[in-house]
Amino acid sequence: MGRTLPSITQAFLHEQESFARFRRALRRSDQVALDDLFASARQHLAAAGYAAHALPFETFLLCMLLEEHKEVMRLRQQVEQLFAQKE
Amino acid sequence: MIVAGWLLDVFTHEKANGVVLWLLGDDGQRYRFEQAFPITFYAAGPPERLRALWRFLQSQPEPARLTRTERRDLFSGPLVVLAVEVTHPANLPRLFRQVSQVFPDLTFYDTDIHLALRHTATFGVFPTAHCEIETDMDNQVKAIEPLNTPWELDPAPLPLRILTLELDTNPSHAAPARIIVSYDRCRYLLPLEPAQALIAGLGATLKRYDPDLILTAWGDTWLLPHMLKLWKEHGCPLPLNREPVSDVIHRKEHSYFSYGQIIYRGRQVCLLGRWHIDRYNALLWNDYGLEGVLEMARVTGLPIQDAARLSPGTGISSMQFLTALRRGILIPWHKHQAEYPKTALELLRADMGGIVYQPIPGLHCDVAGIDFVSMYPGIMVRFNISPEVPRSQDDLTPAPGEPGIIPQTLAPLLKRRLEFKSALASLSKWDARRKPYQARASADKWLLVTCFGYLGYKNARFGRIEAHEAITAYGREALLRAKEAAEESDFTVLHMYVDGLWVQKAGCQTVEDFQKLLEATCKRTGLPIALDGIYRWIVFLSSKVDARVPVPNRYFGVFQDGTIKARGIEARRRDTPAFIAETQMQILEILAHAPDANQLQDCLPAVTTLVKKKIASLRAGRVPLEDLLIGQRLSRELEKYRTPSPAARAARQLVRVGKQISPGQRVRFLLTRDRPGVYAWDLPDPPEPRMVDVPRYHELLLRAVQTILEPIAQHYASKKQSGKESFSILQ
Amino acid sequence: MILTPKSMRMTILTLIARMAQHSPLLIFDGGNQFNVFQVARGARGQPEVLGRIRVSRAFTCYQMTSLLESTSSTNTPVLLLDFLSTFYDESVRIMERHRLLEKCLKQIHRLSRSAGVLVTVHPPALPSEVSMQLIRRMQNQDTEVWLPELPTPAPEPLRLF
Repeated sequence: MGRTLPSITQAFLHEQESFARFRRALRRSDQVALDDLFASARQHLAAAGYAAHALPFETFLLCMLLEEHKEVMRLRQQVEQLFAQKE
Repeated sequence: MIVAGWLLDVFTHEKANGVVLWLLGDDGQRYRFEQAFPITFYAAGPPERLRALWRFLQSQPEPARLTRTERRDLFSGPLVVLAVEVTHPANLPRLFRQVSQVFPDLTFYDTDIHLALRHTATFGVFPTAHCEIETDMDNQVKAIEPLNTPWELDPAPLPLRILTLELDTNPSHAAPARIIVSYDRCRYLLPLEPAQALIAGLGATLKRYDPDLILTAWGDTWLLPHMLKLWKEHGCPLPLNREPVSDVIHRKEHSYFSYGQIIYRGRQVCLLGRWHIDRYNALLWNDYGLEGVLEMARVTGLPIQDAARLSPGTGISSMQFLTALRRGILIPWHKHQAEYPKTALELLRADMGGIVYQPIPGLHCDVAGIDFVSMYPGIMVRFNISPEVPRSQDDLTPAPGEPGIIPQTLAPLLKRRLEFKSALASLSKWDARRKPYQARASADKWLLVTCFGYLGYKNARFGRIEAHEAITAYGREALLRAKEAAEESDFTVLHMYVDGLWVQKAGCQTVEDFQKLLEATCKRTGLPIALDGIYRWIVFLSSKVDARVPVPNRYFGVFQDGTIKARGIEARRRDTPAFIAETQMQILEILAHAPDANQLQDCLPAVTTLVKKKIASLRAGRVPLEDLLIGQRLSRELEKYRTPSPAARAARQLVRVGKQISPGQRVRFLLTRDRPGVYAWDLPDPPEPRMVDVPRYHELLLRAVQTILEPIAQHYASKKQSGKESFSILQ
Repeated sequence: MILTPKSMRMTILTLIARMAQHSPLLIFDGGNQFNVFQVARGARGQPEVLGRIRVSRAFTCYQMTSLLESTSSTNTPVLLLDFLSTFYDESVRIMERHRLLEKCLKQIHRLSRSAGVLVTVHPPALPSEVSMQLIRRMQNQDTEVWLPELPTPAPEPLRLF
């Protein structure tokens, strides 16, 4: 029906697959962390698709960073709460 | 003579003088008229070639009136064409075939349009129209006038005479022995043997009752072909047609590729002068029945039998053809228009579908589901998106100028859909008009839904990929503006899917709370938007493969009024066995009783009891085999499977007993213990209950139960509420 | 003309990216092949390169013919991608497909007088008499025909144990 460009999900899976060798050579615990990074990129596929970047992987990296930062903000808040409770 | 009545059928054949019209008169009589109706096709090309065509046509035995004239091609504008007017409509196909073989280099228009569409476009009388016919002494139509329009919400019902013919068994399972004949208050059984008695019996009924509609079960695929075969063998006449010619219209079965899938069309037998509808071969019959078929015919201009057996795209293309015929726009025989060059960057931006957000998975309370009403058709009409209209920017401003052919075609249909929607909202639950309104609205909705896809279809005469892309671009823009409107008012957007979004804000629970958001969104986008409902609670699901990955458009929830909505779960999937789908829905119904999400755990005992009962039933072999059937389509020819899917394995079993299965056809089967692990439902030997692979069905059942209970269990776990233990039913 | 199995299509897209480094390109895609992401990878994402490539898609052989006929002679190199794909469509009469192919060939020759024209052709998934005829007709043109050989797998070295 006229769709020529692969969907953003297909593009994502292609990128993930291209790191399969890298992943294989990592320790098991590191593989888990890598999988988490890719899973976090999946949270924002719609935005990555809409962005229509010629090199989608750059957008996926930004997604991973986004999720990491959210986690940092969340942890920071928790730490601050813990300190406040201790006082 | 002047006669008023409803138009039943318009067709032609060799022995008729022009077109034949059958009318259901106001006085209860059925009338047959003939009407002179010359039809025209057009040719364009280099002048010397058109002159050669002129000479060729003049030398033909069939009389044709030739004129040089100017008409409009939608894409290239005004065009000088040779108009070839054929006096007798039945002769056009044959003449055109010859012409196209001798002059393949010319461009042709208006060559293969359904006769009924031409008639409707010329006189304004559509199938089932109430009209007035004036005839001369020889019963030839002098004038014909419509007395109503297709757009009335509640047209007067046709006093149809309906004859129902059903078989006593499904012919793919066992040879039927009898036909169950019913009409008026009469009902009797007609044995299929001996053949001569059958033909005589059926013939007598047809003659005596003279039905307008023959409604059958398996009429297209078995019964009528069988009757016609017998008739040929035994030589006794059978007045299936009302029209005094013997040939019925036969269409072979075939599979074709469309919209990325293989679609299968069974064989068809259509009659002249009366209608035959096979409810197992009528598209969407379960959705909208006869009332919907009548609506389809009324609105598309296609005769009833074609309207009942529509393939996707035919309905909306017929409507486009009507608009074109009325506006003097040429309908090309082949679509030539290709895409205008884009840069790779532009293609990157344009080649996308609707926005599909990843939802925030889990259970959420007091969520409003907001939908754009008929988004894509609404966009086409509001922003004047049409193949011949030059596009403006992506900023949701309507393209200036006259409405193009697509908005012109869709506008009345869209208006009608909105009228039905508001009429249904105001009718009481027991109003007799509900059912026909719903059927009509359903047919209209289906037509509207196919329009967008059809615009991008490669063979659509008025299709254009740029228009298709513009629509999705506007759709994405509209959805993003809706998101912005929601977030500016501090709503959380939980999920978005092409034309709808789910929003939540603490303290917002009633319709009034969301009203301002609706108004703001409507204002920002210029498109109508409505509240689908407010969910007491809704669960957005994650992938079964990886729980971290949320899945779009897969959810279940309960509205404030207690109704359930579910998408993408087993109960909504077409290949799920009825036993499992039913169990899942029953669990949801139990959960729907909880006044709010915090009290869901109180429903657990009832859920546990239900599931235990179902498992016991399954293990004891008490579940009817039919409820364990899995139905899947064949996606390709059997030989092309590298590793055969369960459906393919079942299809092989059917092929081994001589049945033919085509790509796109649905195969129903049971999962069995022994190899090959499946047993096709339509095999001559019925399956035995002990063959069923009970552990496998048990597993599927538990999986479906888990789909519902797991996210709820997690919700309780995260809130650290007690009650998590009671979800151990999942073990 | 390049005649290859469909498995080469990624390589062709990378080739397109390389070509676009130096010159604008006009691409007629007859087989829904133009995966922009693959081309972008080959062009390292450079928007100037991508902006130099203009593409039109044809989904039927009528559209392909129309595309070629409506393109005026230019000195921009033209690439016909998976050119025969739309001609393998069995729903169009064989005579008609041949007739349209002849028209296309005429246009290809016209365009090649002012610019380089590269045609890629892939055999269909299910070869048939007709598709073979169409491919042979392309090969009989008075142009260079490349049939790249796929690398044969190196033989397994003998194991010692």
